[in-house]
Amino acid sequence: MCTVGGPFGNEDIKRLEPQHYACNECGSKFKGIGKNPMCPSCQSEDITELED
Amino acid sequence: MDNGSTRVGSMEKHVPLDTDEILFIRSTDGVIGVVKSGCVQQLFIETFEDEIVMAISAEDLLVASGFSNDGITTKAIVCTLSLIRDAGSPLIVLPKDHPASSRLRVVASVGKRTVVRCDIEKGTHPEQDVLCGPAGLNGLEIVAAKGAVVLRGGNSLIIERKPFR
Repeated sequence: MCTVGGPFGNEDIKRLEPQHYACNECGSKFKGIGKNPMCPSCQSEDITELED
Repeated sequence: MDNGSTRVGSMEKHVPLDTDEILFIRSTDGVIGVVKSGCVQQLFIETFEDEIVMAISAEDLLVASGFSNDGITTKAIVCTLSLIRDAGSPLIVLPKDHPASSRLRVVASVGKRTVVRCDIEKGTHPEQDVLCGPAGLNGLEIVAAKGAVVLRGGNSLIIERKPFR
């Protein structure tokens, strides 16, 4: 069975590293991963990747 | 393979999968369900600190893992995948050591590739390329391909392709 609560087994997993984005349509800021994310508020694809 | 079940060894297996089908991968101690993302373009990953928008494509996979190989778990996997794909339910990530982790009967991940691990804490990993699963499916790699799923590793798997509804 799956180990629950133990500290081992997690160290070699690559951390999730989302990019920061701003929507050029509605101004929302959000974090995203994957190719071609859309604004979660207005579904616009007109977004800009922000510096961390 | 037709819609019946097939037993496969540890070699790479290429299994056709349409968007209206589900692939079940079974071991003696658990079952995994796999469907295509289909028309879903994005999902939300909710952690204690953040909401992350995950952009996905039609060939990406939604994978749900259950910790018994029985009818109730199989039904729960179908419901979980329907909640995510059809109802747009977000993927909720528990904080480490949260007591709910031990109560989870099904966990899920989304992406182009998932590796099943039996040595991680259920429901606490925002990373979508690993998925907690039963020991009998540990190390199984599930990879999206055009109109198909590629399975690598895993011993003596029983796989079934069924309509997803």
